[in-house]
Amino acid sequence: MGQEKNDPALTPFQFFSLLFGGMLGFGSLNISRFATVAVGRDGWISVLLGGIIVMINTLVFIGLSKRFPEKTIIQYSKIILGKFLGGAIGLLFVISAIFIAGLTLAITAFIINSWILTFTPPYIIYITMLLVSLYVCIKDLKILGRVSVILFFLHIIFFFLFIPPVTQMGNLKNLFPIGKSGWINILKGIPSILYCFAGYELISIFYPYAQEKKKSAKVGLLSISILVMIYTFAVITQIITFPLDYLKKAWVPSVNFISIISVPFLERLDIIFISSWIYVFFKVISSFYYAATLEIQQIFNVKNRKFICVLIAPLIFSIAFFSGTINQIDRFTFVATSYTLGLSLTVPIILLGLSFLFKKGGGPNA
Amino acid sequence: MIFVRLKKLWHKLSPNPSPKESFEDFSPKNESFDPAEITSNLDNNLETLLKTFKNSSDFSIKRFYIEKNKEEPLAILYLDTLVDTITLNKNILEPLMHKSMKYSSSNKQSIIDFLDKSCITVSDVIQTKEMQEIITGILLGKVILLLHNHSEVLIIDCKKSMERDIEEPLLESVSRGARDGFTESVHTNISLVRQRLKDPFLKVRKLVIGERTQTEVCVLYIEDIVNSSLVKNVIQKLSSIQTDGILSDGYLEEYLEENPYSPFPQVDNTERPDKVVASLLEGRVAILVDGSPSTLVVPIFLIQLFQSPEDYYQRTLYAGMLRLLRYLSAFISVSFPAIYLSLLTYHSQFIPSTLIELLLTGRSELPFPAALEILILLFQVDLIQEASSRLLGRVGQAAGIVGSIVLGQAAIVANITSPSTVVVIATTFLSSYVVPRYALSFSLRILRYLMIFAASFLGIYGVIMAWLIIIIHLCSIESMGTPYLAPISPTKIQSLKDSIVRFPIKKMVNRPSELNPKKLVRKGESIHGTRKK
Repeated sequence: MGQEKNDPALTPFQFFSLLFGGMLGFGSLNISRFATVAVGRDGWISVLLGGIIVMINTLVFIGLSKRFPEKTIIQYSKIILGKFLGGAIGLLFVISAIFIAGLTLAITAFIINSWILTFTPPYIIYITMLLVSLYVCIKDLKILGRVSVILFFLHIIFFFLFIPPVTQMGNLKNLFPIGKSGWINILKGIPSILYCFAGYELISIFYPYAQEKKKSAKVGLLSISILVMIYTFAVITQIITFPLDYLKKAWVPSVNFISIISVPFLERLDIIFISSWIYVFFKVISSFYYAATLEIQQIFNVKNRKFICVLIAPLIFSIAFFSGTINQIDRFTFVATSYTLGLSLTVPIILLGLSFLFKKGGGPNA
Repeated sequence: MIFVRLKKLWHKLSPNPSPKESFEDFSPKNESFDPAEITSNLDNNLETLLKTFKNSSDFSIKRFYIEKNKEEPLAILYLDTLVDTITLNKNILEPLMHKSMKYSSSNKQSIIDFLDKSCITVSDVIQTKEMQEIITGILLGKVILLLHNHSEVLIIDCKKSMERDIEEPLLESVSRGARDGFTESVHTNISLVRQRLKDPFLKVRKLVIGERTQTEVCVLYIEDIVNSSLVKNVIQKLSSIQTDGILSDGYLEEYLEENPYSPFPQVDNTERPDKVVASLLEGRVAILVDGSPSTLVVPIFLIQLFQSPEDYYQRTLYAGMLRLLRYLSAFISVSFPAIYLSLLTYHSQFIPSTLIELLLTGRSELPFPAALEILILLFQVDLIQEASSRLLGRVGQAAGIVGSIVLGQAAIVANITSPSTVVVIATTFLSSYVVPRYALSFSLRILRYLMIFAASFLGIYGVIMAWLIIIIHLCSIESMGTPYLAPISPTKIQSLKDSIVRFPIKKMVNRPSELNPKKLVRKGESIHGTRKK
């Protein structure tokens, strides 16, 4: 393994759904809170603009990956910066991946505890979720790809649940006048929105495993743009339906939004929504878990990745276990995602600049 | 010289040109007993064979003389339980005793060639010198002709055909479509396939597996459609089997599977010739086993197990609706008791108040917790199912009716279960019968218990985790190197036309591309050509 050639195992659609599942996480539930707290009525514009920034950043990642089509970010940063410094950069990414996995686990357990299983101790949820993630992580990447395709089909259906509440309670006037919050405010709101997009840096780790590179690059951008569209749609529908003050205070507005729908045979529809969202959280946890093991394997040139999977599990568990109350989890998550965003905004640009400077990479034979 | 010629002749006559599957290869490699060589002395040969078939009362030897040649006695040997007496009398003995007079030693032909070419009126005659072949031949129902002063021996095929009539398969009956099913004879089965598929590219490769049973196994495929590495893989796996006996296709299934502990069947089996032909046309490989009416088809996908041949004989909409019903019923069959259990015990706040009243009435008097109650009922229904399937015909039906009605009613009256639980379990079992494959309904049964276990500990979260485990497992298994969940994941848009629903047959132009067939498009490729108007 290590510096050896990475086996291209992912079809473009698998690559697409793997990225999509990695990004679509906690943000899908609370993006409208972030948007309204930061900006107000015009939060959806910030979401769109934030999405554009993320896409530009992804282009930088893709540019780097095109110079080293067979290498992950760990491998090419080792080539550009040397073994030691490159490995250190890799470790920064590992830390971010492990923390995101652990904190998502904590959030998942909190949501499950508050909606579905009130009396189950959270550590049982951590353990079961981690064991299932471990089960998929010790398998090949192509199996994670196949699983994410199935889960993509499963949770894309649930976005249609965003439509009925608007028709029941929506008031289009809530959206107008557009731009009242002031353009400066809208721009200022972008950083806190970017928080919800964390996860797109996975493209630099999974890209070398994609089969059709050219198509996969496009598909990677497509998955981000679809995500941006879904997020914008979610924020717009919720701003139309809910009063602003309510949106600012709700912890996960999307769930409250879904529970407006009433079905004769189910008292509350949000149990179905939350249950299906467990799949989304699982997808995030397993993607970052897998990415972390892959990164560690490439930093230290370990042969047996399964061993790393088992080794990391207690680490993720303890991050979730010691994250504390929900307010602390929220704060930790904010720190972890800001750190990740900082990494993905700066590192690839530096690496790309250096690779041009040292004339390293460039083409499939690099 | 004559040996060389005979050897060439033997190679010409032998049905399998490739040495790998030829007759000799399947003789035991390191047997404990070493049969003596054929000698030109008739009595010596007979003695050796008598020693081999000692204590076999059906072993017959008939010695006689051809007229004019009194000094050259003949003997025929056979197992009279395997040999067709009419053929033996009319096509072997009669010509031997009458026509053989025409032989004169002035002819350049040797007497053995004369008997082979001009005397015996049976199509399958082989000359040999190997004792091992003679013994195998006798065991296959052939008649051996030994001549004094000749070391060549004639093996004459004279097998009695013992088979039942062609009947409709019990488990795969359809309301529209062909009603014939495979029998236990592999030759009949191949002819059933050939009658439907008049294609010279349909290849039948014969293997003999099982050192003692010497079971004939035929691998069928259409040469210019199927992916050749798949055939190679199948043949390699089959010929590497080393065992003393193959009694049914189920034995081979286990050798072909990559995940023997998976609850899901990775090899399809059918008793319907039309289904085998359809699979061959898609680029799959069929494996027919002598002595077993069911035929293996590899590779398969999960969605195929939800399909019935009837889907293609009915109209599109009807077939599509039936398929959706099957998927829904598989989901119900696996997870309905678990969802009911978790709603009842963990998440009663999500059920509307009118419904919860209905579900909870009388529950307070029940002695068992809900999980145990469901398990008891499931166990009872499993008992009824097994009992009625073991008993014959009407007795089985009676057992089923008595068991289900009496037990269900009595259990409610005796306050062991609540009526709603009985309804849930009954729905579950009914829906498990909708799945058209027996093997799959078995795996659903196993998974149902996994679900109930998960639901009783973790409620709906446990059910979701159990489904995740199933999804991951399904994604990771492969059938002969093809992903099991294709064409859903990895996704093939064209093949999806024949998956969840069925598109009109006119629209299904391509073969399933995940099988990597040599020819993807289904038309304009036959040697018969397109029909001229």
